[in-house]
Amino acid sequence: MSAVGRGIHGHQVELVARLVTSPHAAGSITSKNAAEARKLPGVALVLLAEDLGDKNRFRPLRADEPLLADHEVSYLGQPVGIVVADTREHADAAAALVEVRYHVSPATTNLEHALALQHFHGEATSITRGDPGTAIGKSPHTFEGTLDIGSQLPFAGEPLWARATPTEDHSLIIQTPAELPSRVRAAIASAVKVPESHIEVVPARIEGLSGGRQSEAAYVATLAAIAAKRTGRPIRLELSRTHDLAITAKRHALKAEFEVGYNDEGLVLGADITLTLDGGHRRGDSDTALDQAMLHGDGAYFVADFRVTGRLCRTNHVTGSSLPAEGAAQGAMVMEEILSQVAHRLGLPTEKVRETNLYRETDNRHSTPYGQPVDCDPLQRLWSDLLNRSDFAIRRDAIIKANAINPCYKRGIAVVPAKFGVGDPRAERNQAMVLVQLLVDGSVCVRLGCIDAGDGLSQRVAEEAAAQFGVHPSQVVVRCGDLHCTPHMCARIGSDTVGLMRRAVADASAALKSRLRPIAAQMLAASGANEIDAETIRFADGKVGTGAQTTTTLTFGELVDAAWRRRTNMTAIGYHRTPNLWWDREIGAGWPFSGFVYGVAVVEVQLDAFTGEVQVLRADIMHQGSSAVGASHDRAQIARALQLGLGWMLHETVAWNTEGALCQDSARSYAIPGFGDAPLQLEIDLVPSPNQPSEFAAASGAESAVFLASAAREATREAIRAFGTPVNRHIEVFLPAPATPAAVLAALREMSGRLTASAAGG
Amino acid sequence: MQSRFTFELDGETYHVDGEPVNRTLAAHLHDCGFGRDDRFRNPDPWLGGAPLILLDSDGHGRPALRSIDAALTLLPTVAGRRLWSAEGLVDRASGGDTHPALERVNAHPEVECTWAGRARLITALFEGYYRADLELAGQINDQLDGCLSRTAYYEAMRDIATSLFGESQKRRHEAKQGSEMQGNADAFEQGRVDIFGDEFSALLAGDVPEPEDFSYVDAEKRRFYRPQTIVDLAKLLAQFPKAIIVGGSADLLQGRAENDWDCLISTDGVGDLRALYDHEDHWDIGAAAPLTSINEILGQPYPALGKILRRFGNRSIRNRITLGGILGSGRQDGEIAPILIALDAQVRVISLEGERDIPVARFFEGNGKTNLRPSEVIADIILPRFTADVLKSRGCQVRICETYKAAPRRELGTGAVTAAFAVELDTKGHITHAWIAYSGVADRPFRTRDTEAALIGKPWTEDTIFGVLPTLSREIQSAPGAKSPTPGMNESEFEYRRQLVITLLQKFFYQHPKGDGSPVELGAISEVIQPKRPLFQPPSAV
Repeated sequence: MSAVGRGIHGHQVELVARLVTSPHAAGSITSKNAAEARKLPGVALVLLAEDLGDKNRFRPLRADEPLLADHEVSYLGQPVGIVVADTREHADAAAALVEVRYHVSPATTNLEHALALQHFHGEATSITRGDPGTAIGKSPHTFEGTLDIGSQLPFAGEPLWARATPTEDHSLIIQTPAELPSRVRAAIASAVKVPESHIEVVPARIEGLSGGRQSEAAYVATLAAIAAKRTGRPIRLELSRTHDLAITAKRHALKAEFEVGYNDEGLVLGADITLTLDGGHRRGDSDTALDQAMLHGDGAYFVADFRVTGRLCRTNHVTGSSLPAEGAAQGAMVMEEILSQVAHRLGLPTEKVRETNLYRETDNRHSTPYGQPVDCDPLQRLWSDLLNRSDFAIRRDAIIKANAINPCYKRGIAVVPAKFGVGDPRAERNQAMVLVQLLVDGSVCVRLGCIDAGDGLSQRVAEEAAAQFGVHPSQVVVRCGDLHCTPHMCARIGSDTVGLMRRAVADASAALKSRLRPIAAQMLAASGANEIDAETIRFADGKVGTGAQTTTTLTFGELVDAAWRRRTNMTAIGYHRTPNLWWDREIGAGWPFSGFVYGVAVVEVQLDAFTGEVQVLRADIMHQGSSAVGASHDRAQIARALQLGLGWMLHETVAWNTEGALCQDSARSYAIPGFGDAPLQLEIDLVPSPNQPSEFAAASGAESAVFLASAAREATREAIRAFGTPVNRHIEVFLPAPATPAAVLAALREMSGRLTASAAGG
Repeated sequence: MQSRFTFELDGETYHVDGEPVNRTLAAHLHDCGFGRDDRFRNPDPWLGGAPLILLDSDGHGRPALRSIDAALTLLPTVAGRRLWSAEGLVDRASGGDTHPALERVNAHPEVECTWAGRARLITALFEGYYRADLELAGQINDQLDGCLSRTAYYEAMRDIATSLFGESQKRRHEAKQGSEMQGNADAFEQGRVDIFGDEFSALLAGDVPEPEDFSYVDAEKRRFYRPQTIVDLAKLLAQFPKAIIVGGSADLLQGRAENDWDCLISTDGVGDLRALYDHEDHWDIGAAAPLTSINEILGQPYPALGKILRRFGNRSIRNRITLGGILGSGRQDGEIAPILIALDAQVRVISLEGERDIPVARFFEGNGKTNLRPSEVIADIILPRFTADVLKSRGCQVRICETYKAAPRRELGTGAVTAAFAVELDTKGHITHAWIAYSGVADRPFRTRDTEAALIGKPWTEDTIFGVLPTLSREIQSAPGAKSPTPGMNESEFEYRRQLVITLLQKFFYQHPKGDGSPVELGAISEVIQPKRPLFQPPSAV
């Protein structure tokens, strides 16, 4: 209990913390010695694993993971110690003096390597419908194949940092750019043995929603908090870009192996897919990514006899589920690869084969392999509308003509559909709470625990509150990241935050309005109106009246003021949880999503045969979303997600060297897309969906568009094929993801080599 | 020697007292608590940095408002200068009107989630707004290429830029007509007309701010000099042979700002080094002229040079970085060196002992080493003019020159391979001279003389090019440092670079198959973005 004020030790100067990290990706620690470092001037504290005792656990999230490496290290850059000093220079000098000896083991640096060594986290699980083995056996055509999808770095605008300040009442104030502040609080409470209630997390402004700020922020903040608790001084812990990238969760690289049976029309009759994800050094969040990959393994397509099996490899780096569309995008891409290959083998246009396999209401083709039904009409409508609106057929013909006369540059066009599950298979992430306060002038304050990433969340919530109370949005203020009022919150990425928050606002508003209505009825009656049924009271245009009484003079502000004078509680908690969610990984069945959103993308690219460089000429996206207010934010979110996906599909390479060090250690060596890489033309159509509330769809557009970017890879494949001759159309183009200029040039060489060989053979 | 100085930011005077000479402007502003966010704490130049606007001079010697990256600017270099931040772009003369660039971005918060990103966009738009030469849609990329982040909505940014720059060009056009009617056309041409009627426009119509002679010593006794003449510069260099020459702070871009820099000499104040001189048979490019200024003057007469200059770094880097700085750093992946080789350029270095000219290809000696001796400084880059007369005197009729940069992304990336080619053809279409140079494949920018020799006397045909490819391939593999991948480069990347050596030469031929100097449009990009489309089309005169 703290009756004292929460004063901060204002006179105390901030100390600087540095991490001592492992220079090896795998091995055991044979000795540690910090004696020399502790003697250095200005050094306030040096902490190693043994100094933390039983608190050396990153709870509650990854209870099996030590905060500071104790006996083993399992990735390069893993923190082994913390050094706290008065200046950066002193901290750096002391960190260099901490002597740690390692017995180095060979590192497992990539998926292939882990597969060869059979290093896995846990057992493989499956989702099965029918009997794919038999169906494939009976099919007129079959083939087997593989697909490799690379990792991706979130690459936030600034490296991670945290500031921890002890207060006079033995509490802690933590500032850090965390996407999930409640997780930060829980982790710190467990590590410093302070009740969660005594920890105040002030989420720093976060730089957009590209991921890498969930567990990693909690981790860094916990280390800072421990140092602050030990020294009793404010601590700032700032990571270098290189170190930030080493400890940040990356997108899971994936290897898919598949066996497919299909008929002459290109209809896939049976598919058996195995997804192997790079699960990193600890299982951590990777289960979610694996679930999402398997749950999206069907893409937007119905396959009668279908099995998807998933497993996690163990490697010596860090992966996690914090990137947008993590797992889902990788999983969905496998069916696109399969259908492209089916089309090429049959000599059919790829869009025809995709269309043939889409989920549809007829022929009982509208249920996912795990049993959740698919709403097929919107998907079918978006598909045909976008093909029309983007002039797909006309442009494809024009491209064929242009390609025929241009030997150096070829263009390609492709269309890809997305069916994206809204919400998170972890049921606890599908809930939201808000606090709505009415002020006596009729203005509204909405407080929520989610952070605002500058992506329009607060505007969307303000719109909802304004609509509920019939006031102008300028009368509403939305305070995001307010953990005082709403202690529990969901992560922004991977959940339908906007939808959940709006429903929670509606819930709180309903409670407040039910308190206001009787008072309004009395006030209207007192001003001479007839007997009024409180239930008929409406709130609109800043006024309060019955539906018939449009000329009411009672303003919303007057009503709230009167309600307060009559001692009415003008604050309400709103809460919403998505009903009826379940997901059983063991049996591979469930209703894991509150629903699906649909989107379709057409992408046209141009390929430079001399350099393998790919320029996206035009992208057309049609996506479910709102067409009203807030549409500009929805469009921006979709454009950003597409950009994230295009980078992943076309040039962001992530690789580790044999020592397990990340080769891309700065903004210089890791090329996120720039202004000049953006599609030269981008058309985004938001289509309101009749069956779902509009905000519902919009929230997830930000994630499903990451997957829609795979249309660029498919278009690139078409462009590469255009270098072949009509006779050799059956030759398959092997293209990894990302299709980097180097990979494209290698594919071109490979193809021309095989063209020559097949010409010689025939 | 003084130990304190001031600069002006957003109309307020900032005092600097004893701060280290190697501190960046960004670090200082962060320590001053400047800015409403943490933009200046740790900006990454490879992600667009933390731009400010600096009142500087352009290639024509007129005042210019240029975006610069505070993270790439050493604090003493702004002594006595005027700067603005993105939020500070309000017209104080009019009582605080928000600048249109700031206004547009404020009205569209969805184009960038982050303040840092918005600041980059605002400064890029602001600079473009006052640029007389930003007339075509295709130039927007070069102006906005510093807007780089995961949270940018690039397409919407392009829309904002198109409309804002279109408006500014319209006002420029109207002001031009106005001046012509008032018989003021000369003043307009000289840039002495206040076009927009705001505080900034008035500055542009005024006189060039000349950085004063200045010397500064910090609390650690480290020195910073800003001399005014080449002689003073050479004297200082003789006095302090280990001094670091500061032009556009290229070293900062490589992440270097070492504490043992105990003497810095800025070239900002040496007018002669910042200017370009037009001679009958050559150009002298001052080693301290920023790339933007060089492009303003030489982008038209040397299109290939302009093309590669515009793809270096981003706009705010090009506004500061100099040819002297790039060449002096001796980096092997420098993307400018190949085109200088293809243009047969020489580096003139001076010292108190005298001067000497070195061909660019011989200037580099591998792994960051150059031909530069201690106490020597790069003064000029001498660029021959290839007029019809000059070519005729050499027995040839046409010169074809081109450069290509293959990079993982279009801007702010170090190129995988940059290549530059030039051939001179005689009246029969036979090759009389050839220049072939690459960076990114050896430990220095590399000129393939054997391949060049193999081309001489041959006709400009596909067969000729294909015929020399084996020679080229062999020659590159025997180039110094070309045997194995450098650390951090994997096998496929290494193989890719080997490939590019061959394919870029082929591209050069296929882009100029006719041998008349006019390139063929190979791709379809121009159909989509119409780079030659004017941002403002004056209504046609009746």
